Amino acid sequence: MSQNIRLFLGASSAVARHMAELYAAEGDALILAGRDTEDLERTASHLALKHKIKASALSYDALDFASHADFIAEVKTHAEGMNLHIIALAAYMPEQAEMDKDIDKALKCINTGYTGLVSVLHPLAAYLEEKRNGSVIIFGSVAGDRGRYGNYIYGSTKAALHCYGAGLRNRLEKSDVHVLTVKPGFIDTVMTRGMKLPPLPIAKPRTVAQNVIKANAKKRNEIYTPFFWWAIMLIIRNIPEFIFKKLKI
Amino acid sequence: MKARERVAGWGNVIASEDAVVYRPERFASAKQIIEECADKTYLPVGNLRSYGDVCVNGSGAHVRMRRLNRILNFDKETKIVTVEAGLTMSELSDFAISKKCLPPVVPGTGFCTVGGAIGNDIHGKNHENSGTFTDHVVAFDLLTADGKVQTVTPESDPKLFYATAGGLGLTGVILSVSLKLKKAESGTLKVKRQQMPNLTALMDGLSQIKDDYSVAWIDALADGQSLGRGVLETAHSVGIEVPYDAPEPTSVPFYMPSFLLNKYSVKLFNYFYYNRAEACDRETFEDYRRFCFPLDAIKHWNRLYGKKGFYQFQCVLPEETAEKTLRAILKRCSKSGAASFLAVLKKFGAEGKGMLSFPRPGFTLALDFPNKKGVVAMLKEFEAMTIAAGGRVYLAKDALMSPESFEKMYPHKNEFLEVVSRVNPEALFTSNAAKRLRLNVK
Repeated sequence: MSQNIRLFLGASSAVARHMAELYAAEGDALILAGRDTEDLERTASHLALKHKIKASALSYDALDFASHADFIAEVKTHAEGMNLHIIALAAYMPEQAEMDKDIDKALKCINTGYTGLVSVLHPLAAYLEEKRNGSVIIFGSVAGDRGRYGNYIYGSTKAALHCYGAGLRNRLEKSDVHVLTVKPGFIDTVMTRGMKLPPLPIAKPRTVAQNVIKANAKKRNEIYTPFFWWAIMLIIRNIPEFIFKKLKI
Repeated sequence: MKARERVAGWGNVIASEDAVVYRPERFASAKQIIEECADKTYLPVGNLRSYGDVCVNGSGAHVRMRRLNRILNFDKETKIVTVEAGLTMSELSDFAISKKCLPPVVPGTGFCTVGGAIGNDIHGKNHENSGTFTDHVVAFDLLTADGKVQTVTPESDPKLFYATAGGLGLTGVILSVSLKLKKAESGTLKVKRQQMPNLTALMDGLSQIKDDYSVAWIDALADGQSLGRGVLETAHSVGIEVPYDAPEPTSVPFYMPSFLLNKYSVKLFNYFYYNRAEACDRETFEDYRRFCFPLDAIKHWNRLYGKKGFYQFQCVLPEETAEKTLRAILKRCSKSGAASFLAVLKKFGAEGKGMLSFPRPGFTLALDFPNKKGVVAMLKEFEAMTIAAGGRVYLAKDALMSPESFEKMYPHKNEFLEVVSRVNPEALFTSNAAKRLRLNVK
């Protein structure tokens, strides 16, 4: 019987579903947290039937800050006696142009992808610190590496997550709790579907899931996935600002 | 959720280059797409494994169900499994085998989805004893044009059930399906392969050698005394386990030049395939998935036919007229030199219960032809021969049938249209095939 229980924040994501499936195949228990609990129950049933593990769906709304304390208590109940591993994926990425006109949409993006996540991650991090086991995987993005006109509100939430992740890694190092920051490029999911993207390869959710699990097992600190984004972002990050500010990407 | 993609039948002859395709990832999204109704028409599709234009909706929208592929429930006592419509046959097989069961009926590819299996009322290598896929479907949830979801069983609404069975997606979007699996000791089959030197021997073999699964590969280019020679494969489930490591599939990485599959290369292939050691009266133990889905080991095998693509022709012929008609078809085939290397012959049992189901008692022949000059005319000849013999042509493979021929071969057409006018009166759900065969009531 595996000692691990994996909490997915934003479990409806395609990457989350694939990661959940891969962990279920290893015998880990799962908590699938998100807003669409009806859909998450289906994923939970599927994984419980297929892999004979315990899987539960929990309601988690990043924007409903008042509900977070109860949510955290529920998670702790489920994780009693086990090693809790948190995977934070929740995000909301509307078109930058829409957010430029509608401040509420912009705030929704920021709260879903950053403040709403930190609101539950931070108390749970203290819990992991106390227990001295478990791990945290934070999904940032290449968009967080540099603000660009095409996607800077979303990019800024991811940049904030990268910074938070690094700080958390620093803090939890002495408690033996590992923190991995993942920076995916474009992935073929609902989030990017139908968008006009630059001519770069779009990764399959399953591939990203496999890469992240491998990196976490190897206790990597920060990864780009697929790997070639490391090279692309190295260039993007180092273009001098006086040139970059004139670009339209 | 919406993107523009290329949608084509597996034969690659009919395609919509820049089609609107929705790909719902959540159960509620599928309903939302139909409720919002931002497009004029929709076609629910699975994995696009039908060959012609059944899965293409030209200028309309498609709803790709592939990411709704979860297993929702399994009853250990009744062996009834409830799954979302996007689950594939190979995923279903994997699950069934893990529960000491087997799927009741599967088609020749594991990539076919459960929804597609109902929409085409597929059959497998065990039709004589197990019928079609929908014979084992206990219920399905159908999203109709009015945005409502209803659970349909053969008892609750037999007309809607049997219109949807083989109904090509024209009654609505199948969301989830409850299906009865069959108990099996393992996922291993004992397979026997025998050479049959000519058509008579092959047909006799199919009729007389009774086993759970049986199928024959035919050398469609053999002529003279050897006309219709082939390899008969029969199999049944056994109680031993053969370790199954799903082989890493090879892939055809790009479209092959169109001269690759021609009279000479195929004749050569057929010679070796007929004479291979495996085929000479041998018995082996094989995994169910390897036996049932032989071509899945080669991803994108349809690219072997080149960019122009290929046509598949499958007909069923009643026993009385089968041998005569098959001889005529095969003679015409080998005379034309149009190379068919995937020629398959099976025996059918009872008539399919769906209004547009394909099977009826007799022999069924499937042939493939590269899309070259003269092939369309030849297939029209085969269709005429089939009608004359009292048989019919399979809609899941077809791309050429006229509405007049369709009426002759599918006597329950009007019954089907009655149901469509009830649940899909404005032709919200339609396809290129529906337009071609005049299955839109509007």
